Amino acid sequence: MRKYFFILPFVILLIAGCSPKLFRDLDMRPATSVKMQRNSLMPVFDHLEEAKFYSTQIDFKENSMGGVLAVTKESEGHFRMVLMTAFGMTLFDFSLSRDSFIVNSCVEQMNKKMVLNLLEKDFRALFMLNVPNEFKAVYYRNKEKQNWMGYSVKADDGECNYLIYPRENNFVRNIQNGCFIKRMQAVFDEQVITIYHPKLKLKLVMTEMNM
Amino acid sequence: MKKLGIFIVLAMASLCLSMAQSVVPVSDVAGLKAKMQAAATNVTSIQSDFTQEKYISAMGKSMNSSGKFYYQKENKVKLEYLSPYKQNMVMNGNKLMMEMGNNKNVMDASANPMAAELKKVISACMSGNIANMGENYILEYFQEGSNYLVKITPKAADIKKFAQEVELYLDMKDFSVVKMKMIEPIKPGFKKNDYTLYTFTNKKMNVKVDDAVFVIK
Repeated sequence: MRKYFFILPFVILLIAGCSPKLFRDLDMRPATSVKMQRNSLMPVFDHLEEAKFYSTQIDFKENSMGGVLAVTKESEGHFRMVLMTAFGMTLFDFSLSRDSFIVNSCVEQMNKKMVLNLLEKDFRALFMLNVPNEFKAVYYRNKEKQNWMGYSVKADDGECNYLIYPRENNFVRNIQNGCFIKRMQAVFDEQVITIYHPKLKLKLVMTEMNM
Repeated sequence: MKKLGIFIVLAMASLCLSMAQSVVPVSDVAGLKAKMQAAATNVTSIQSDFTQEKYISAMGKSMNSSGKFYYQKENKVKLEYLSPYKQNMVMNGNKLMMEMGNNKNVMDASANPMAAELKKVISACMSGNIANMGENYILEYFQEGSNYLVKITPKAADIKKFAQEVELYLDMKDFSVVKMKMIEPIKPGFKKNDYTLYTFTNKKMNVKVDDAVFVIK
């Protein structure tokens, strides 16, 4: 029994060392394993009552392009997103649900397997469609920031970490998914959603438009 | 009494039909083309206000914007969006620039045949100078109310992906562009096509437009 007691600090150190960077940087530590529902992650788009439009800027290395992204909920768990240029030309039109990703239309320049896979993965994480309705998660917390919630989830496409914390009358959601070249981070803050792919030098900034 | 009811219904139906603007094919197409060509030759510049309605079938609603339109012969077009957000689209020679906030995207259309073709269609339609659109398009001419309606159908499949048809409404009095509707191919599962409708108002022809308006850097 005594020898186990001796090992315990090393086990704790090992667990803390394996914490996702998102939580480690905020000094959040694993508290417990929880059974939770997708709703607890506060999916932003689940409550869409009508189409939302976002002024969207995509920066890739030294190149950048802008457009307007329209997002709508077609039915429960089914979303549609259309990106168009300022003067109305449709760049892509996707339908997305937990089971499917349909390319309704896409300009030739973006209609590449790698680009489509990346966009699908990003949108799945953004709409929180990469997790089932019920799942197990590791709950992370920081003792000094009791109202901050961190969840590490085994999603369909690998580990996905969610950080949720209150700000004014809303919540900021920070999602981190994938690792190495596939690493993606999305931040929902007020009316702006930012998606980064640090290794790919790809950044997408969506600012909600009041139409 | 029953006969009176039928009479009223028929009278109202015929009134409604006569009020609806009918689309009639133009009989003298060659004559109309010559007049359009002459009008286009006389236009060196255009300044106007515009509204843009982008209808997205998937969203079941439209996105509206408005701003200022500038055209300078040859090949210079600018759409300056002022509402709901400030942004610019400038075509100058072979170059195309999109500007949103601090973000500028300049494209050399000569390096991309499809972009060049789309730029040609938009520029020709917005300026009303469609005589030289070439053999890649089918042009049909109609009369609708106080406007001529030119239906432009691209023959090339890759252009059709973006614009299945362009409807161009020209004022009968001066052949200036009143409306331009770019209709996209219908999407699976929908009954209505997506489209972008530009409406031009407060047109000023042949006024001096500063070259700086069209500068692409």
